Amino acid sequence: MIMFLRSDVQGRTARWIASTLVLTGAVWITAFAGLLTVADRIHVEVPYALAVKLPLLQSRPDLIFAGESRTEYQVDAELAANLTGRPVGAAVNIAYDAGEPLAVLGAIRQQPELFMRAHVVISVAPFIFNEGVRSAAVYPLDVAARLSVFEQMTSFLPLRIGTLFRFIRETFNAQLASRQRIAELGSQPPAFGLSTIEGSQRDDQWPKDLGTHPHYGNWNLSGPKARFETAALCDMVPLARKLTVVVPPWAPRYDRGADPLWREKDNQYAALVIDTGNRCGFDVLNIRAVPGLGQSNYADEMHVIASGIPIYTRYLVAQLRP
Amino acid sequence: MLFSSYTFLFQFLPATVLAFTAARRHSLRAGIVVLAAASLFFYGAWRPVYLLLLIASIAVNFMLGLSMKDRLRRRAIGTFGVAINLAVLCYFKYTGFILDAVNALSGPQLPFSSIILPLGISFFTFQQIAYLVDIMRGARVESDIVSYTLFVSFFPHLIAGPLVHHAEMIPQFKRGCTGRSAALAARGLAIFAAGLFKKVVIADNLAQFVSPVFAHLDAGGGVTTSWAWLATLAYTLQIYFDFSGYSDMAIGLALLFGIRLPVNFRSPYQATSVIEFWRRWHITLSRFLRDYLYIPLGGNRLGEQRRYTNLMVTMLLGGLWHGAGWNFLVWGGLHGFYLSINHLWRELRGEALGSTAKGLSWVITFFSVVIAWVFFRARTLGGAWQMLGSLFGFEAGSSGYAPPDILRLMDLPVLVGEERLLLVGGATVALALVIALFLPNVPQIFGYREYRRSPERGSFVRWRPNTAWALFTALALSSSLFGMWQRLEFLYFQF
Repeated sequence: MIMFLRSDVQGRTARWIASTLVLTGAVWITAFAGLLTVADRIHVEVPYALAVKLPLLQSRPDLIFAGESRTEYQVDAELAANLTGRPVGAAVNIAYDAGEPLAVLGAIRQQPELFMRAHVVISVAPFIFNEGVRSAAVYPLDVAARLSVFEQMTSFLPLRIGTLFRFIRETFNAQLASRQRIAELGSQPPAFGLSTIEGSQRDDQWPKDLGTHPHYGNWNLSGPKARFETAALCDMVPLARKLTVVVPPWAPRYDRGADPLWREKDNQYAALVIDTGNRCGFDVLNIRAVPGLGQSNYADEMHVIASGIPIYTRYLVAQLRP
Repeated sequence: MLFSSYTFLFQFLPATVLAFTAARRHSLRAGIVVLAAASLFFYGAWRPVYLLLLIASIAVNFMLGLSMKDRLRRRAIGTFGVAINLAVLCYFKYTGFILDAVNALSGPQLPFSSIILPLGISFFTFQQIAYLVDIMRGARVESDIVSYTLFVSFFPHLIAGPLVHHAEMIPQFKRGCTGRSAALAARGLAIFAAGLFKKVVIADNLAQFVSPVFAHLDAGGGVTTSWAWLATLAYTLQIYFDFSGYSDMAIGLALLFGIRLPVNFRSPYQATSVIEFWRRWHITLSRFLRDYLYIPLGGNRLGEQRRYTNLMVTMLLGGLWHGAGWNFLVWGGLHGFYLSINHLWRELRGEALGSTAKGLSWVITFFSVVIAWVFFRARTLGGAWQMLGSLFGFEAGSSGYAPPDILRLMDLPVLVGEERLLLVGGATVALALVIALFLPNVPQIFGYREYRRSPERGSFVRWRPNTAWALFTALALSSSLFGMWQRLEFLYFQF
């Protein structure tokens, strides 16, 4: 009898544990959907990281470098202004880590008069268009905002939940930046928006090849990213004096000829940008190598260190058509 | 690996529970081996090199214990072992403090490179000192290395306690009931959820009213009286909910494996005297200090004057145990002083109190504890004095505090304005205080008993494995999961 009662208690509490865990899952999913709905509702196109750079536009520049980290860390806007005979402040760098065209379009729509007379030079990277890259650090927030809550949950749960966490947190940060009017009232970041990377990564940290690099992982250029981001590039054309889209180079240690997987994917990505440019009327600079920019100038497979900045900037500015 | 991290909750814990369950089906010993291995992995995940320190500490103390079987050499070896443990603890925890003090006194700077404090070193060192001292006093020597390793390294208590005693842990590893009870596991899950909620939802949300204010004061600034009180009271509650939440999580996790850890908190802010406060706050540390410091010093057996000296010494060392700094020493000294006054008062007036006197006693006790927390929280003595000045209306400092106008709800920023932030902070502190003062504590709610001793008084809220409690637990767990993205460490990790 005692044994029977004991096993009954054991069974009952085991069922309680199971039902509590199931209930936790259900409550959490419901609450998470609610939070995503709130985030979708308060989402603003300009993320915090871009908003803090927009005070640079107060100098009414006519050359604006924008885009992702390869502009943020390797375009010296002050040098670019010197090289093109512009006064200091006439060229600025508003690029930020994992920056996306949709966010720049959002900034343009917020302050159209500041962009209307400017040449906007925006860099892009494969992960901005490749739907296969879903990691939290680089998934474009404005693309995530364009998905329905159901699409968000089915696309990212359970393994890519960090992407939705980042989306929610960044949305609240962006909303805060918008309400504090940081873009208009904030202080200007130093060096006209240029940031620098101090040292190179260790030898064992360099990827072996680029064909299997995470930015080209699960290669898919037919998802919402490619659709929304290319549309954003097209929408920018009439809103700026001129738009140039830059496809920056990778570190010279990587040989396209010896890496057919990379070559194939990279050609498809470059073709997507070039075709969009032809269709919508913007220039595309597909930079595969920069003369003088050597392996020793690179911090990692994508970004240059301080010594590479003037070399890259000079080359980029020389390639821009007025 | 924090208990309140996704890696712990969704990878380490399920893997350990599954591996333990499978091993336990095979044999009791296999289950213990799995738990010991998982615990070492848990520690190594922080900084693998310090796993070597933990293993060396366990191995040396275990060997010392074995060699103490020889009655003739027992005292000498035990004393040597205690000295070794204290030397290691001193090296990692107090070298910087001692050299700073020497440099300040002597002038020329001694060479010094900063030493990383290994997580949990104060806890696992003290537990092993207690083990050696008890053998010197005649306790049984543990000859099973696996049980001993698990006693020291069992992951729920390894980093921040409760400080466990070998006599309450090792016998459990050898009893057949370990890991066989779904009833214990259900209780463990609910206690864990309560602890997680206390840490992530209450303590972490209070942190925003504390950290920037104390940082400003430590940098030489000043704050208004209202912000000083808000920050101090918020810290008073933050440290309670953070540390008691951690202890609850540890107790709950241990119960998942059928192991009972000692209760560490019993509503300390309900205490109406400082003596009672220390019977409710960090109970396992108080127990250790009493059994291995205060009583060996003579306790209250050598006359009144000696008792107060012993109290002061015990509390000063208790303060230093928390950290190498003058602030901790002052905090310990204050509590030693409070305890001495409290004992003296009891000698003169007796223990019985009417309801009015009880109320007054609570106010005095709470106020005294709050003032002492100022020294515990401030990083510098200057910051602590500045805070005390601000609390009593003496605003000073090189620069005034500019409060943020942003409220962070589970770290999500919301613009509320400076004045409203003060109001929201005050309301949050008031709510947390109501919870700490008027709701039953976790041992009361969950009827948690440690080895059938110290049964809690019954409370009007009592856990049962029913639908309502499943819903409460689910709400606590799911809301905590949202807050976990803040990744704030437990306050007691630094000790």
